[in-house]
Amino acid sequence: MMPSAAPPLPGLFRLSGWVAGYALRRWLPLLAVILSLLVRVGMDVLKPWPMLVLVDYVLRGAPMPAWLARLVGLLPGTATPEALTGWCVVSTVVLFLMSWAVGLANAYANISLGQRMTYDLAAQLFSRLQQLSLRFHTRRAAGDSIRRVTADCTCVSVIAKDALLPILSAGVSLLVMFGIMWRLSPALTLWALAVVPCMAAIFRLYAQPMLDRSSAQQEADAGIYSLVERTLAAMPVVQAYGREGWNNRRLREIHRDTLAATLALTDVQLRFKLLMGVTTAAGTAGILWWGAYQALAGHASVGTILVFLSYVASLYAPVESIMYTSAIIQSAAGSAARVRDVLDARRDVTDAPGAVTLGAARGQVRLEQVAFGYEAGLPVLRGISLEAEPGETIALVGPSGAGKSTLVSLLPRFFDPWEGRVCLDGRDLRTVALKSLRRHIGLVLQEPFLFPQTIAANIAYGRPKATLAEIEAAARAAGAHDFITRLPQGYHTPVGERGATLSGGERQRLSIARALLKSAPVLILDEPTSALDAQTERLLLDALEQLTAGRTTFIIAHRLSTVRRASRIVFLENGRVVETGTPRDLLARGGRYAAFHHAQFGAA
Amino acid sequence: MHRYRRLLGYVLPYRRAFGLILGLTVVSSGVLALQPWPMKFIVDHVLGGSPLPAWLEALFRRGLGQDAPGRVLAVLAIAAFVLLVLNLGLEAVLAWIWTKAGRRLVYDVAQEIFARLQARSVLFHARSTVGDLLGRITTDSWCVYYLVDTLFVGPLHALLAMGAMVVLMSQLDGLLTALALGAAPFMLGAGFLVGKPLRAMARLRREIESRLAAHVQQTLAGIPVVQAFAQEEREDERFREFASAAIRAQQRSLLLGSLNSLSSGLVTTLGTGVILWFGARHVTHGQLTVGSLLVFLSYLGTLQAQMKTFANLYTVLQGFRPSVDRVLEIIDAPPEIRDRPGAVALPRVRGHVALEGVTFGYAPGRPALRGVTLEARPGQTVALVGPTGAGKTTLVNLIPRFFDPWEGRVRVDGRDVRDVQVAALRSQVALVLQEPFLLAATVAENIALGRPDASLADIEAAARAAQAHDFIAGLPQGYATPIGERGATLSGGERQRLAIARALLKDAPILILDEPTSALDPPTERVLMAALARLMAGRTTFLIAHRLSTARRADCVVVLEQGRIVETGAPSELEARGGAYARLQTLQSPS
Repeated sequence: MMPSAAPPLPGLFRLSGWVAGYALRRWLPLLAVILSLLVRVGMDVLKPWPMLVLVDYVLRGAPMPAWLARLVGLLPGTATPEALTGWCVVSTVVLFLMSWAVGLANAYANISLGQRMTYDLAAQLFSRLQQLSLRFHTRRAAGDSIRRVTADCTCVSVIAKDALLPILSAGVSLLVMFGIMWRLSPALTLWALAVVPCMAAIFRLYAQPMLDRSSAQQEADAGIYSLVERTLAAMPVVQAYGREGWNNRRLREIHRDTLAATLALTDVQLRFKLLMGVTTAAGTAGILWWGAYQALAGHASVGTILVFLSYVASLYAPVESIMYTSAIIQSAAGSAARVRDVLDARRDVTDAPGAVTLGAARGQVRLEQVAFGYEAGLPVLRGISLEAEPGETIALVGPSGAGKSTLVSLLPRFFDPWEGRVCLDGRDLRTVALKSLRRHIGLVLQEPFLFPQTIAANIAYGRPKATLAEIEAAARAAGAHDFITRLPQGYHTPVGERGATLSGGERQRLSIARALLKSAPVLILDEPTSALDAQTERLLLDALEQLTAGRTTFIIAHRLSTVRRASRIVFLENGRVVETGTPRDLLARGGRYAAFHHAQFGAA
Repeated sequence: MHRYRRLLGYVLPYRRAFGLILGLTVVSSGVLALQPWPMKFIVDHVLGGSPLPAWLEALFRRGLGQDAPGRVLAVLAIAAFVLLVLNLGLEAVLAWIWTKAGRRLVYDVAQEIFARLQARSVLFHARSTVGDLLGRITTDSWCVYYLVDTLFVGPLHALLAMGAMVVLMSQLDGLLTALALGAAPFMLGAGFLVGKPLRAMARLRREIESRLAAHVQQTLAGIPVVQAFAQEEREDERFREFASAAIRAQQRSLLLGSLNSLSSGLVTTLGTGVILWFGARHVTHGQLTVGSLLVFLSYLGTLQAQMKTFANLYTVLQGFRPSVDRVLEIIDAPPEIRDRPGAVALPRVRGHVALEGVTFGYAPGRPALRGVTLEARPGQTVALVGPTGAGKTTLVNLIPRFFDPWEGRVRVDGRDVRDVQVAALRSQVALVLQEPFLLAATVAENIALGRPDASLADIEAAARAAQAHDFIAGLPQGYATPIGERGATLSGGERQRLAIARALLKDAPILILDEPTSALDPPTERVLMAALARLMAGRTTFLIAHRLSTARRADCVVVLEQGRIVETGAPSELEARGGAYARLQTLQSPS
């Protein structure tokens, strides 16, 4: 490791360009932030001057330099010391008021800018996450992606607010104040600035340990989240298995570790702060001593010392703030990396250049020598070829893990195959505009995925403009109308998270109604009835039959009662098609499917 | 106000730390008050030539030998340095103590909320969102830290520092001191004016932000549906709507807060002006030295900053009120299911389960079970069949007391389950649900859920019996493989097999199987049924199954419809009877 070669804030300079992009998109609040910042620096510069005039020329009676006398002469009624005192008091009050107003304006502009930048980034990230293929999503925990959108996106405003703006402010202050200080007393100026390299040296020494301990602390903190989250999500199991006490003990342990990590961080932070404080104290005391020494010799005045002390305070403040917030900035840099990781993720499923929009589709589906897997070297589907004529119902049967769900996921292009191609009406899916392709495919999954909206909005999910009559018709066809009308607010009843207030069967019926309302020529049913009892399934099968009529349907089902109605059965095993044919043929053949059938219903 | 007192009860265990904070604050207030004095002596005595106070004069004469301005100056500059550093040191020690005590305080509260939440009924959890409860533990629990900070640590420091300064100021100039103090009451008033709207604003902001988070969570969790129904753009749009609402709420609450700071800012500024005016006049009339005026102004700055602590007290307290409410809501609510006074431990039961006239529902006026009476003798298997929504899952959830019936009672070995300790009852019930609920832990930890101390050999044996050993052995790290949040890397069948292994390992006399095989394909199911049969042997089992082929092996079948038992009896008997069960069977048999 070469700590001396590391820049003071690793990656900050690289990041600032990226952050600036988001700031520039909101140029109006950005302008407000910069303007208010400049005015504030101006205030800081002017602040000590009324005191200088008051102390040196009114109270101690020193003669004014010519330029100041001329300036003061412009004001009415400055002849007497009394009146001059009045002017000093008034200008102090005015300066105070103005800096208060500027401070407020600055805070307002900061929030406007910071929040807008954060939400701009979050919206962009959210949008990108929705576009990324299921391959991306199945590999990551949903909670991780959520945190990136809801928490990590604040990084742009943190970097802007806690790093870039203080640096800008310090830079501007330094330039302006340096000019004035130099004219007042070059020796004092050098002394005041001598502190800055010391601060930088201390910072260099402590930056790395502070960052290390801060990330250790954050890691420990994250442990709290994950324990609590996964416990709350599995309450029935937690209670049935009596895990409460164990969980409580575990949380106590994690809390203890987090406390230890926090104290380790606080320890190094406090030592750093102390050293920095000693340095600025040396600077302040030094100015006091050297300034008074000069004053004794007649080279400086009390007022000059006051101005210097005030300027030194204004100069140290932003420098210190950057250093104290370096851990925050570092974690923001970490957040930025996580955000950019998603933004830069290759969109594996995109519209090819010149992709055509699919108008009406007949629904002829063909898979040609398709191979696909989730991880390199572990194919889930191997050389699958399959053709479905428009209106045909194909049942995919096979043991779990055979690749049935994966196969149907290729039709709406949730994934693209490694090899081979998938065609709709003879067109390779990769040459079709994604949105228009998905318009032609209806979907009912094992997990219904309801959204926290009303029942009606959930049914109309694919067609937000559907009328209530159409929604009701779909619900009736899915056998959902009766239970919906029994709900307190009927179709306007909101669905809780994970559809908790509805039974599994009811939730699934809503998702079937959703697919019905979409009315697409190709339909995917991935174990739609495995959560339903026999009677409901029977009712639903009738509804599904209406739905599948005239549509190309791929159905995955365990229950052969569902499969029986298919025009063709494709039996999958280990990612390969093992048998295909009509249910009757396959039974008669006595192969794998027949064995499967007997496994369920016995020899009878 | 009592709600804050309620939380401050958590502070008591840390009174020693707070005693230490008190002592150190006294010292640091003194140091803070002394800070501007070296400057005063330099201006007045070194540069101004007025004599030093007698005691200081004597001190310098003894220490430096003679009164040389250069040496006096150096000593004063060193004193200034020492005072600054001393103040820093004290602040650092205070920060250390407060970090430690404050964090412990927060963790105590978080621990309590977590424990309470785990004791709440499954019904409560079904109606709450994980994100909301998570926020209460990880975010809202910090309100106790901020409360102590605003009510104790901050005001204590402010009061002591102000006291020390006022004493020193009154030595210098009585009139100026009176003026400085006169401004104080005005500053305090401001905070009370905007407290209420500010609080409403804070709540609104929180609500909007959590709606935004919920939107992201739901959309990403349901991403297959979002993409299949091509709703990405609409979800983006909704996100942007939530985001702009959040920005508006933030801006409005800042403006509202600025009204507050405007009033205190005005008082501060005018106060400074008045003191400057009178101070300067006193200097020109020789009643006050320039150095003393500087001390005054320096104190005034500090005083005003400290006064702000008080002025903001009310506003800050109100700002934390939503968090406090959210914390107390959990801490103060009694768990729906808890041990009755005098609840007895339950030694290992034989497994006799009886429901007597049980009525229960999730919402008032909408019973899900109506007068259900049934009995399972030890070792018997009772199959529950019936249409969706008939109340099968609700019925079995009453046995481990996930909720209590409205009417009637549930008995285990003749004892009302409300008379025994909840933990003891649940330790005797194992269950396998439709949803396996795997935790984000390793495979082994998931299997050993009910027996965290189980040996790897036990875990493996359970996995083998549940037909899970082979696929586990095929995983990259075997039993130590971590499972993703939604168990995404395992198939539905594999996940369910882990849940079955988990139940096997628990080895409880009562077993609840809520559609354990609905996610499995027939061959796997067939093999598993053999494993389940081993598990069920000698245990009282309640089995909910869609497939009647499974129910056929039960000792007794109970047919439920709309919360009522419509038929009950041995499978063969019911088959012969030609009632509801027989109709169900016709539905399922192959044509």
